[in-house]
Amino acid sequence: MDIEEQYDKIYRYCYFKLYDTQLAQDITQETFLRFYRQGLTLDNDKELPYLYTIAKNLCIDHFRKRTVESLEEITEEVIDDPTEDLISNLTLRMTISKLPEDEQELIFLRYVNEISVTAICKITGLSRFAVYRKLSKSLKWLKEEMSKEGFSNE
Amino acid sequence: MNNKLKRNIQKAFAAPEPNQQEKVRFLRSLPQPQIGMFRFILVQASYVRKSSRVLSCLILLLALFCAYSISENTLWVVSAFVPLLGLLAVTESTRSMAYGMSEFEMSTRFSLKSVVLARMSILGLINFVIIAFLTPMCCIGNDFSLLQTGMYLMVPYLLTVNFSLWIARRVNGKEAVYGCMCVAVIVSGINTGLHFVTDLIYQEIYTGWWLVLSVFLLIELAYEIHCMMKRTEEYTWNLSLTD
Repeated sequence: MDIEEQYDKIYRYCYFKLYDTQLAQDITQETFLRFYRQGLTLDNDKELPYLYTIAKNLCIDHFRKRTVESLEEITEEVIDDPTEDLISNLTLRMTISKLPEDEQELIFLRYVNEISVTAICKITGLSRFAVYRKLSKSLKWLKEEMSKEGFSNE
Repeated sequence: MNNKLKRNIQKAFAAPEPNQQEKVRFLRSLPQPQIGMFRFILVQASYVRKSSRVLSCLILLLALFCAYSISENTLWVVSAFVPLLGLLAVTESTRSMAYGMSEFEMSTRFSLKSVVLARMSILGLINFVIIAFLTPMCCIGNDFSLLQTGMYLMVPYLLTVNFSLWIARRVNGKEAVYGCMCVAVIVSGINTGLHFVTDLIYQEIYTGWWLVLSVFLLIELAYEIHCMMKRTEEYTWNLSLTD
């Protein structure tokens, strides 16, 4: 397993939780240090959920201290697409932000960091059935909301 | 889920790039965790090519078929195929050398020496188990003892492995693989040819000579492995010159 790729994915996960670049990077590094201090390795997928659990717990620890950036600021920072894509992405992002936090996390883990459902179950403590059900419900809702806004994802 | 929605979700969750310098510095300073011997061997075993595993199983199945259908001729047929096991073991162990990746592997997490040794041990152990399994089957339909049959199977195997390792040490690149293939074919061919004089060479009075030959080949194998390990040390020296 490529450690650099995992670093980027954990960083993205921390950023998704905290919306703070420096803090996300600090927590990513702390996550890896704690992971390796336990004598664990990333040679196979088995210990990957543990890496995410450490990151998640560290994010929760820092959660109350965070300063929430506004959605507009974040968008300015990360999106450099042409206008049409930018509007579509902004709409999608705002729609996703209306979802409950646990469903946002599921979508992030499954479709952004492309983690297996088995690993997601271990990270979130949900059953496979619950993960599939929540994902399918959220995606259906997202598609409907985006259609209402006049965007097609087909 | 359609790809467009997936792509859009990925874009919607895009995060600003992390500080690259800090990231690289951190990843370089990250201590690599120690790995246990058993786990290391398991990891190396997973790198053995599927084709090698399938061919080993095929040889085993062939022996089973022979034992079932042509019981009295099983020994010479199986001993003609055993060199192929040796060929698989040597080509698998010397893969990094055959494909010119030795120096690259030197810079990886585990040293080339330990990787080569681990792969040789894994393949050697698997082949030993296969030969140990084939031996009683080859006893079916003839009067040879287990020791005799074991030696009749081990000698062609060890001959192939020894000559192949010798070639792999002296010839670089893919030519070494062709050389090893030639050795396996020649040893296998000799075995097939010897089928017509089995009554002569498999006589009990020659058992002592077969034993001596087996022991000699085992010593020779230990020497060849030692030379192979020394050769990986030479790669380190080369690497220090080119750094």
